[in-house]
Amino acid sequence: MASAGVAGEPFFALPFGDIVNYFTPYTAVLFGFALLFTLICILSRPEQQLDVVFGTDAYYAKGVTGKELRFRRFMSIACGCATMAAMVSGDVFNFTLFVSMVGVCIIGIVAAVKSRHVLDAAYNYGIIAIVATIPLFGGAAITLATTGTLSIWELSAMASGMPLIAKMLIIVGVMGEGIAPFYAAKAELFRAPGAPYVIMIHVSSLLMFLRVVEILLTV
Amino acid sequence: MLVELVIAVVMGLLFLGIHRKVIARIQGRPGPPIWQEILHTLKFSFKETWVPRTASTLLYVGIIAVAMGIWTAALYVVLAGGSILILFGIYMLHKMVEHGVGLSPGSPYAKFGGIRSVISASSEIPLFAVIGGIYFFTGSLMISDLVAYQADNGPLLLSILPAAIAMYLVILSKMHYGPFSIVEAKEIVSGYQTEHFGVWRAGLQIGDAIKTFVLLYAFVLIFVGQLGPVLLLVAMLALLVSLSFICAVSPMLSPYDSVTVQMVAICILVVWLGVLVVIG
Amino acid sequence: MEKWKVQTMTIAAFIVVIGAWAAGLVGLIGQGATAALLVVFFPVLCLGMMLWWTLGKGEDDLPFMGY
Repeated sequence: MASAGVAGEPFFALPFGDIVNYFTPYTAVLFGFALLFTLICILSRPEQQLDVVFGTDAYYAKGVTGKELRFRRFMSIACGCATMAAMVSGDVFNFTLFVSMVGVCIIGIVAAVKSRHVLDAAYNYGIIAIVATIPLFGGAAITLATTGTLSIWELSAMASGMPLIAKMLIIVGVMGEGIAPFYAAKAELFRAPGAPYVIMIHVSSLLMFLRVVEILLTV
Repeated sequence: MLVELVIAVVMGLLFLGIHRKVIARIQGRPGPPIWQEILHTLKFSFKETWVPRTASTLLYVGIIAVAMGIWTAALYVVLAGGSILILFGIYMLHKMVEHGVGLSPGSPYAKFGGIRSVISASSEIPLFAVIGGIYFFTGSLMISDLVAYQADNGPLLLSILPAAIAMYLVILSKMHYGPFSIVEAKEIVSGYQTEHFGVWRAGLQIGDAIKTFVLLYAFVLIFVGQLGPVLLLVAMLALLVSLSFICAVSPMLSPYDSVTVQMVAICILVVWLGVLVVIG
Repeated sequence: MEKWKVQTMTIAAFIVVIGAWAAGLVGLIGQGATAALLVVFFPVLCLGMMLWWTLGKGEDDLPFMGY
């Protein structure tokens, strides 16, 4: 495969027709990391955030309990599953689909938090993430229209490969899902309690970005 | 392979000690002895240790193992001449360690460190200038290929200087006491590490040591090429001392200034790389 | 976590790390497998060794809240 110079020789491939899902050392590392953090989300109890009552010596604890805990845990596990799927996907469309699913799950992770500040940030983040799906799917559509395939395996073997404009659209789309310079709202999301779930927000978008670099250098 | 790992830990801790010593000498202080970080790690590992009552236990403990594990993996990638994409992936995943360590105890100081580490995500962008530049000029991202390329064509440091500067910035932004180390600034006690004491802190120190060793080693391999053991050590030390010098003479930037400076630097480097691509 | 659990875990991690290293040296398993085992078990061994004596028996405490 042409990506051997980018991410190492693939040591496993699973073909479904022309769509070939594959593990290179690179994607295996990313998959393992997504799996690890999903397991932490499943097994870990959330922390209690301590805060000082302003102007006094008193402090109070904010926890995550009951329905809120269950919903946020579910959303972060869904986010982890979508991330893992995007790491092993051998198909550009599946990849874009899982990236946008991650965007939705990230809003879900903080949507149950009863804090105006965090909800405002989630709303801002949501607008950017949803707008970013337009270049994301646009890139995949242009790829299909010009090359006739969405399989990364086949695209990497083609001489022409993916058109430059499609590559640029896809990278803009993934950046919009939450990497610099569109991450300002995400820093505010991190103020919500529930560390294992909140961390999933950044795990997923970092892994997305790392994978898209591999895809774009390969095709 | 275990031997290399132990060497990396000891050398890394020694490098961190030298870093402190150089900073102190430049600032006119006597400074600690260079083996101070090794003593620190030993001292921390003999302190009584527990988990704070408010912490998310699994994350609080597990993230320490992750910190050590990812940099061990990075060491093997560099030693085996693997892809620099994996190395940089691990560098970005180190951000997760900062978030996890910062957010898991429930302490407000550690939490601020964790949030600042999200803001400082812009320090990862120069990585892609490095990857893009190297891939365009050499056609490969495998360290073994890059070493072979440099044996034939001379050091990449000279041919793609902007990519080398970008990686230098990346390493600088992870050094202690540096202009960009806002995640462990003293106004938030010890930043993200505030609540990790005793054995947990010793574990973080070991992870840090391997990280320092791997990043310096990778820089020399990627931009200078394969050297003999003595020359390699000299090159790594020279790199470290230059980094310490910058850390000693520059103040810590405020969080937003830190991001702005990094962003401006990246834009300049990307334009410079673009010019090189057009000429070449 | 109880002390005996930490000690059992440490001994298990020690056996795996030394075993993986020795097996890698004599060529019983590949470089990749050795690296993978060391990546997973070296941190466990480090933490376990350090926790062997220092695991606290006292009451857990609240985080530091300022002076």
